[in-house]
Amino acid sequence: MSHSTSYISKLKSSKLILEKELPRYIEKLFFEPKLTRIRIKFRDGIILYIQFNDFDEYAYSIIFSKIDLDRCRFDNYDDKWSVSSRPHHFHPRNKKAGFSSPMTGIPNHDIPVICNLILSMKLFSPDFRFENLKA
Amino acid sequence: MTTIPVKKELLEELVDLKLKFLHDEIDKILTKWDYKNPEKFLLHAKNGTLEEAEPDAITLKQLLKDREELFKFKISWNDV
Repeated sequence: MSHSTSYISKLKSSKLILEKELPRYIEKLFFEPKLTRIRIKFRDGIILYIQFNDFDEYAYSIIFSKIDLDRCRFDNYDDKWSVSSRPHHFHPRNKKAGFSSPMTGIPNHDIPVICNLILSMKLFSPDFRFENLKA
Repeated sequence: MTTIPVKKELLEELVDLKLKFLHDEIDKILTKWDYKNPEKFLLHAKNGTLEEAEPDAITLKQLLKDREELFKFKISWNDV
């Protein structure tokens, strides 16, 4: 995906994939392009935010509860983590630090991965990591 | 893209409404983090001075871009 792809196009692509991959798990999907995001409430109360902007930056946040740091996030914004996938990184549940991430900022690649991770519940574990990844 | 004729007054009102929305959302993010300068906020979210600010920074950066483009748009039609 090139720099010319607008964030709204990325949100639209993401929405189609999410609706296709997680039809029974989604309670409500809020398409909020003015706020640069999709917000999804799942049936078990977990919240997913998918965000893009026109600077090829993204964040995918899974919020497990309102408790501080009870979330995990994939993003390429904060640029301080020495990981093989830099600038892409993963903040595991209950951890501030960034670790290697398989994400790229390309919806057709990333959103199916996110869906699989959510369905497999792997992200629930604070110890879950992706190893030996290159950007 | 479809083109339709529209009165300048109506267009101005619509653009001003959009600008107000952008202003309010930008203000909401900066107030939440107790910042006045958006560039400083973006920098601190980028370099890790601020933690957990990435989602707001990504949104703010886009809102600032949209606002800048609308300002330019308004200036361009005032020249007509």
